[in-house]
Amino acid sequence: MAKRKRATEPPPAQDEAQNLLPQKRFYRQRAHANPFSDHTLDYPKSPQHMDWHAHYPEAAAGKRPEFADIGCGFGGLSITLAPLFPDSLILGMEIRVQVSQYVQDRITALRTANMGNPTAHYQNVSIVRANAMKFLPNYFEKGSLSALFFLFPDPHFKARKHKARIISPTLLAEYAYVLRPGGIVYTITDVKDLHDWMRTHLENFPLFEPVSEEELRADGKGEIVDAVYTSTEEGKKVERNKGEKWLACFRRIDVPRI
Amino acid sequence: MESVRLPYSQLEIQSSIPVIAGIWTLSDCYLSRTGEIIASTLNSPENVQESLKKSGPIRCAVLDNSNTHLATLADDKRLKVWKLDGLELLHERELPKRPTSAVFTVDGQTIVVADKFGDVFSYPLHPPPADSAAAPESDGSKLTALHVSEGAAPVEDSSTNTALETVEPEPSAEPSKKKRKSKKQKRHENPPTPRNSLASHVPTSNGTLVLGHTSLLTSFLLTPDGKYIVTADRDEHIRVSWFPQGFCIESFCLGHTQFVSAIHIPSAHPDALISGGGDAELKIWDWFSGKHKFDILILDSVKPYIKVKPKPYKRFASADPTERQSSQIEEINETEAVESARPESEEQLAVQKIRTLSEFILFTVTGGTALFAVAYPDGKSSAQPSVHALDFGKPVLDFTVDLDDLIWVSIDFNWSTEGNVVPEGKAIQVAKLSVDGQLANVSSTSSPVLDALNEKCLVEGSTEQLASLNFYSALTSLPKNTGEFDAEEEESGNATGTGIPKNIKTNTRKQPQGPGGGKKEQGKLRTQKAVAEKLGGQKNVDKGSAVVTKEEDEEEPNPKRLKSEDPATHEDVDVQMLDR
Repeated sequence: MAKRKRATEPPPAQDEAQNLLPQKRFYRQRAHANPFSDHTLDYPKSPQHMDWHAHYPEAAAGKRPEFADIGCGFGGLSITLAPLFPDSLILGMEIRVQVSQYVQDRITALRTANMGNPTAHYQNVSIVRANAMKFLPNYFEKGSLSALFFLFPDPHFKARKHKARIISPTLLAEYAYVLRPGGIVYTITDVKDLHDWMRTHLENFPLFEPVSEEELRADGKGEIVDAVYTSTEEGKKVERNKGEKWLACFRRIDVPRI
Repeated sequence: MESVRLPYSQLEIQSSIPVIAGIWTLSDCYLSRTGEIIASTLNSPENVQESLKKSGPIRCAVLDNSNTHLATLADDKRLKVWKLDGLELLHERELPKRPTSAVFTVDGQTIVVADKFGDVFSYPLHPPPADSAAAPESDGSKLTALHVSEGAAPVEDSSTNTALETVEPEPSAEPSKKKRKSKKQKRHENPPTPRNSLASHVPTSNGTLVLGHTSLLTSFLLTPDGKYIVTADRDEHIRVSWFPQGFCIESFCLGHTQFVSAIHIPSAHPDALISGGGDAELKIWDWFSGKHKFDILILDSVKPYIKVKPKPYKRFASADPTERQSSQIEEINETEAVESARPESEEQLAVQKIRTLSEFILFTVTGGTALFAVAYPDGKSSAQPSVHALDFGKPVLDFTVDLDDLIWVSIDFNWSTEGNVVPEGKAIQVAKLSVDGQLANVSSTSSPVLDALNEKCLVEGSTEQLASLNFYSALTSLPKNTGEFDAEEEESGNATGTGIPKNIKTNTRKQPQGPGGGKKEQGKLRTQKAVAEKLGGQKNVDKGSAVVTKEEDEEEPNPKRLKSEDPATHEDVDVQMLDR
């Protein structure tokens, strides 16, 4: 049984890595999962009950994730960021079973193929199958994250589905809670309506202030912004279809008590 | 259609002024110390009675601190505000979703209402006059700029609601009378909101969004100084947020493993929060920090008194009108499928109400026939305090403590295990707590108020009305069904899946798996095997296989997950999955 090869033959070392990486076609699943249902999910009782060591066995004891990719899909962003921030822990959260399994297998394969690599060891990236809309505070303590990512979220076009959108005035309170002051929320989408929606809600939320792309790049976050634009499957699909992408980023601030 | 006497769904006693307010379904009244009825909505003008009848049973009634105003919530989406003096209905306002409970702020100028969807809105005590309706509340939330705004005129129809909800028109109040509207007609009457509408969680009647949970809000309270709001939901969360700046979360009290249904801050320990729900224990927290302080085991002591069994929820329209009305889950979250988590014979614990009296915690459970008392933990003795029970024979609906430390208890005296109406016993009984935590029934000592509540004040109603009260719906609606058939998600043969439950049902729509798993499984296994082989040659298999498959350390890792990394046992795993 001859193995079918792609048009361009990959070099032998990479070929070996390809054998390890999971293939997406075996992890197909429909795009939508209802976040309001009682899925059969595991989640920790509280952040103190979360065993991070199981996810990051090589990390120092007591270390916690700093970046969270909400609705990480096939893991493109988290996996791209991992070698750029080898000392920070990154967690992807995905509600769909098959997709989260894919990312899990992918990370395992990458860790196996890159053992000993000083930066691209992928020991600092992991995934949970989780409902971030309901259980984010179960995973993260107050102010423990420095970045939250919402890349190409489900637009939920119909008005009656707007309540399922990942950015809403009620959920923003939880995002502000897990983010430390100064932490950044990154949002990007190719749907203009959704971009306006997210931007407006974040602008109107007292605990977030807008931060421009220029400011972020000047602040040394250029690599993150680039990854936000290009590293996800969704982002690549948008490019293939010659779509536009709209970025909107916000910084978590404090407000005085009335 | 025989008439029955309706029990008291809620009881409030305010004896700081010589008045006692007794509130029950369909109407409310208040008495004086001598047992005379000072006012009753049964004597209210015609339009008030009509409005009450239309709204249905009163589910929640709250008084402000000065006993000037009363706010009531029923099964419809209306907030009614009354002047206690004379029980005068001042105004009614439209709420965005069906409310669950309400609270007055300390100064009595704002009413805070939580709804079944999970949102909390605040409303000024009196709605502003209709022409200045555009001026929004400015409680630090800039969200009011997003309103698709609503007139604030009281007692108007809901048809002016231009917000998102109109896309799915609510069933009209009397579905049996009107013919079902065609889809086209519905769309014509309620045009869908334009796609680029920028509003969500839209308030009505000049309300301001305080905060929201992504889950059914079961109970909430304001702290005694009015600076914080504590909200509890069906997904085991207790959240402490600033008030009125509800967007700022101070802490979460996390640790419940089942829904939270009752919370209380004892006046003697204002830093503490007592919570209860479906868990076998009550929990005590330092609410400001979110730190868990104590557990008080109650299940074993309480279980013998839980007499009402949860009704299994029928997902599709059932012939029984009471079930349709009581469930009403469709309205909350049409996609949230709630089925009874247990077979009908098992009792479901749901803490109903928690109060404190001297150094004891008083509580009741939904469908339980007793009032319970347990000592508030002093932190010194590690032994579990004993729970004392006072049995009334029939389910307890509500209780309240008066200024003389007497406990007034409302009983569902019509209830019977068979489900038919068997009136027996008094509607209201009185209990007393001794210094060592024992409860005694002191109903025999005559008191004009007690006699009046048990005779004069009882309202007659029909058996249908009684059935519609459905006091025990929480037993069915609150527990989560973790054995749910998750159609889109679960696949058999999900060998390395995260969070795979042990009782997973296979999706019958998918292709039946051939021996050794289907194509998908084989494709996945190929790469997993390759990884495992590489790992086996370089590292300990244990370490590699444990990575990213464990979610939490609460129980032993599922042995299946570890085995799946080991190529030798792959075939076994598949076969096991197939057998389900």
